[in-house]
Amino acid sequence: MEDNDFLLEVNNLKLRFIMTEGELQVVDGFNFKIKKNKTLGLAGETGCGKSVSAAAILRVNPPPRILEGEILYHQNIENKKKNINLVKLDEQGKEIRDIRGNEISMIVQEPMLAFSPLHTVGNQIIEAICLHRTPDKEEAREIAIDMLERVGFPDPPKKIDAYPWQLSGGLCQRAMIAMALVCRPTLLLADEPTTGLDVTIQAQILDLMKELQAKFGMSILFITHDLGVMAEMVEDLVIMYLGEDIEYGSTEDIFHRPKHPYTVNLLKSLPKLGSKRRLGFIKGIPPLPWVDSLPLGCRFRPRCPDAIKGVCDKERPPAIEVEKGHKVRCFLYA
Amino acid sequence: MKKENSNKIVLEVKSLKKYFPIEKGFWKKITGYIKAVDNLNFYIREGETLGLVGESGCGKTTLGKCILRAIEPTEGNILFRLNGDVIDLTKLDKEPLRGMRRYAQMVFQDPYGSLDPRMSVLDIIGEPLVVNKIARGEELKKKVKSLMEVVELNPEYLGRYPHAFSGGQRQRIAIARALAPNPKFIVLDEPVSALDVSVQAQILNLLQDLQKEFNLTSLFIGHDLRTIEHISDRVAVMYVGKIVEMAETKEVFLNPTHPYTEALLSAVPKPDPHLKMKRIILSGEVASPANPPSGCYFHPRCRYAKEPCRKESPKLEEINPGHYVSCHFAKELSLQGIVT
Repeated sequence: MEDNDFLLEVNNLKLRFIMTEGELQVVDGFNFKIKKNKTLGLAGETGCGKSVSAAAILRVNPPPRILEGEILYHQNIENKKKNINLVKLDEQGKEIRDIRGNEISMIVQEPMLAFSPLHTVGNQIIEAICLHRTPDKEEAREIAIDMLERVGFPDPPKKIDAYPWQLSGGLCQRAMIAMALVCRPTLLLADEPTTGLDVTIQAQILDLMKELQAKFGMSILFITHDLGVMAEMVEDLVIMYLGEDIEYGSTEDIFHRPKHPYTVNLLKSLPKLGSKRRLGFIKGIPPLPWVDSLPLGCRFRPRCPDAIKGVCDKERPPAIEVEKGHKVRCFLYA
Repeated sequence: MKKENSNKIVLEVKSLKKYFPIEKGFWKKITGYIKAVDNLNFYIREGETLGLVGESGCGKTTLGKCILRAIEPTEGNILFRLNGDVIDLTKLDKEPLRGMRRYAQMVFQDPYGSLDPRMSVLDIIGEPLVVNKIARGEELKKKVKSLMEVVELNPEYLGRYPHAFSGGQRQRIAIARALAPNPKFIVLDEPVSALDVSVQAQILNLLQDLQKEFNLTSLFIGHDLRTIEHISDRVAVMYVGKIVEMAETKEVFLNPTHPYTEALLSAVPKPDPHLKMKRIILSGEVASPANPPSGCYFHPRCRYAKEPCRKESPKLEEINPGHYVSCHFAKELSLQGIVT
C-alpha cells in the first residue's frame, strides 16, 4: 500500500500520566493507520487507552503527562502536501490550533457535557467557523444554519439559539456533529458518539455519519466498545488492550476469523439476537497500568486461557501477519 | 386479562398509573401531567423473568419503583401472591408494607450509587437479614459468606468497603443483598447497563444460574434488546408510559406485531458484518410523556400510520394466545423480526 493512501499513521505511541499515587502508562506502544476517506474502528474496553489516544492526536491530554512516539499526519491543503508529526508540535502553538477543530475534529460521548452550558449551540458552532473559516459573524451564522440542516437538526434558524441543556440527547449529538464538521475536516475522531443514546436515535446518528462521510469525503476514527456498532460502521478495526494494539484487520477478518484470545473471548461474551447460548467471558479484569506493576511479557497473559508458560511471560509478542492485512500480537501464531 | 396457569401467578399489575403533576408559576398551579406509567396491565408467573424494554422516558424505571412502592402509584393495584394468599400492595399500611419488602427486592442500575460507601460488605448484605430479624451475630456472618459464594465473590472480602470493588463486583454485592432475605420476587433495573461487555456476560450468566437455582420470579428492566432477549422468558415493550407489545420472548423477536418493536429490533447493531440488513430508521424524537401525541402515541414516527392512528389510542389486545399488542392494524401488518 502506498504512503499516500494513509491520512494518519500512529507509530509506537506512548502516553504516561503522572499522578501523586504513581505513574500510569496508559498507552504503551500503540500502532495504527487510518486510510483516506475510510473508517477505522478502535475497539476496547474501559481503561484500555482508546479515548486518550484520540485526545493525543489533537494534543489535548491533560498534563502532567509524557507523550512519546509518532503521530504522522499527511496534510494536504490545496495540493500543498506536508507530513507533520503531531507529537512534536507545541500543544498550545499555532500549528496544532490551526488543525484542531478544522482539519481534525472530534465528537464525544456526552454531548451535553461537551458543550458549554452558558452559550447557545449556535454561538459555539459560530466560534469554530470564525476561528478557521471566516471572521464575518453574519456569514458564519449562515454556514452554521446550513450545517445544522444537513445534520437533520429541526428548524435551524430558530433552534440555533437554543442552549445545549434545552436539547435532547439526540439533538445535542447532532449539534455536536455539526460543530465538528462545519470546517470540513479531513479526519473526524468519534469517541463513543452514540453510547448513551436510545437505540432508535443511535440508528439515526450512525446513518447520518455514513451519509456525511460519503458526501464530504473524510476519514473517521470510530471509537466504541460496542462491537455491534463497530460491525455496522467500520471497514477496518484495531482492538486495543492495556495500551497496545493486539489485533488489526478488516471487519470480516475480525468478526469471522478472530485470532487473539482476547478478541475471540470478547466476541463470545456478546449476547447475540436469536441465540440463548451461555455467554463466554474473560476471567478477571484488566489491571491499572501502574508503571511499576506491569506484567512481564504479554499484557494479556494473566487473563489468557491459552497462555504458553515460558513464552508468554518472557517477552511482549511482536505483530504477526496471519493473513493479508490481518495482524495479531500473540505467540500462538509465531 | 386472560391468563394460563393462573394459580401460579406471583405478581399481577392492574390498571397501574403514575402521573407526575407539572407545576408552573409561583402558586405551583398544575398545568398538566407527565403520564410516566399510563394504565399498565401485566402478570408474571412463578419462576419467570419478564423483560421490560423501552427507550428513555418510556416509564420503565418508574414502573419498577412503583411495583415495590418505592414511589407511590397514582392509581391501580399491585397483587402479590405469597404462600397462597393474594395481597394488594397498594392497600398496605407502612408497617405491613415493610414486612412485605423482604419478599420483594430490587437491584439498581448504578453499582456506584446503590451501595452505602460507609458500610462494609458484611453490613450491606447483612442489613436485610438484620432488619427482618432473620439472623444476627455468627449466624449472620455465616449466611452472608454463603451468599457471597453464591454470587462468586471471595468471602474473605467481608470486611471491605465498596470503593475496593469494581463495577461488576459491586453488582454482585447488590445481587447478594437482594437475595439475602430469600425473596419471592426481584426487580432488576438495568443491572448490567453500566458494565463492560465481558463483565456484563459474567453477571448475566450469574443471573441465569440464580434464576434456575432459586426459582426466582423477576422483572428485568433494560434498554438493550440483546441482553433482554438473553435473560427473559417473556418480554413487554414500553413506549411513553404504555405497553405496546407483550409476548413470549421468541415471539416478540421473531414475529413482532407492533411497528415500534419492529423498528427497535431493526435498530439493534449486530456484530456480524454479513448481516447488513435494510434498517428501519425512525424519524423524529422519542415522544415526550409530558406532551404525548394524539391518538396512538407512536403514530408520528410510524411508517404504517393511517387516519385512525391520529385520532384513537389503541387498546392492548390479545392477537394470538399469550401475545398482546396495541395497534389498530396489528392483524393486517406483516412485520420483520430478527434474522437468525
